[in-house]
Amino acid sequence: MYPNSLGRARARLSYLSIALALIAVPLAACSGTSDPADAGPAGGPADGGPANAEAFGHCAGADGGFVFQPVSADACHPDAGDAAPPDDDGSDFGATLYGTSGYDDDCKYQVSWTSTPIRQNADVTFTVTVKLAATDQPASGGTANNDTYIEAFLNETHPGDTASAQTTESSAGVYTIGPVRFDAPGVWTVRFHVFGDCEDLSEDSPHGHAAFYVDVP
Amino acid sequence: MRRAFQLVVAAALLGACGGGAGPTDGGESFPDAPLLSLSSRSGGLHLELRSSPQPPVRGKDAVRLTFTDDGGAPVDGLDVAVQPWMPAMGHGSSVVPTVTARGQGEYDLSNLYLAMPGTWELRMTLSGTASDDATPSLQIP
Repeated sequence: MYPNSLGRARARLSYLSIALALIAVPLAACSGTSDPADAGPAGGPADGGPANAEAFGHCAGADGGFVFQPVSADACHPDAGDAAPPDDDGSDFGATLYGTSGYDDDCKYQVSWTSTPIRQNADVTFTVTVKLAATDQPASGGTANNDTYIEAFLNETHPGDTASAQTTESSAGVYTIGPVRFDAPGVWTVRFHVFGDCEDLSEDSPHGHAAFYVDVP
Repeated sequence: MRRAFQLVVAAALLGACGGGAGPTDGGESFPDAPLLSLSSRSGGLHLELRSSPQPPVRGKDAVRLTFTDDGGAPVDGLDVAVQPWMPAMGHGSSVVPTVTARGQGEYDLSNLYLAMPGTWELRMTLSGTASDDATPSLQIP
């Protein structure tokens, strides 16, 4: 049909086109060069829970009021023998909360949060306001060695990237923590640890933690 | 040309996302020298621990464990359960590391999530070919 040389040339072009397409498609799929900050709607607190009841109910007392746990700086690093041995079963975290505000697991703090836009693979910074639940006063001073810090995980085997996260206290009891990267869409858990370097050995230790569901689109 | 085409297609399909398969799927690199060497509680197993990066850092780390017996032979067939734990704080990590047996006595821990600085214990419960436990400690700056 064609002279041999022309036929071979067309065949080469055909092979080349297919090969280039096979390279281009996966490259386009995997390149991830677009700026995630510009991509689509941002996430936020996850829907799905009775926010107020979950977030505050665990501190409700029998009489309908709240029962808060005062904290003491003296309990941060107690002398040996002054405190009970730590929990050993790894189950001392409370329920993860919906919404953007709630009491921490041990009813020591009221914790509320906002964030920069939450998108997959974008740097997200959280602003966390921590007040002493018993006095409604700011819980300040929790930045030494990033001891107020964040954990982020999609599930118990899928952590987020918090390795570069730093904590600063912009005003009394208001902590800026970031960057945090969520590398997959879904409902994540972020757990804020307050005064995390304090030994959690006695009930009035300043050490506290509260976790919230966060939706990453 | 046809062979070249086949090679290009194979390369495109195999290397699509550049993640690299290989024995360390996450691209971890473990040094020859162990970070820690210790014995199990009973003394019947010897453990070398390497980390990636080494030394470990705050955030996500990977660890390779190498178990040998008293004669230096690799110990396979262990079920290794690991709980990261901060003894001073009285709590662990919210993330459970994944353990993968590699053979030759090697076991890889991925998704080891050590979110804050300080001393972390890796509380290991060993079952299968041996029943024992071991608790290496890592210092996270």
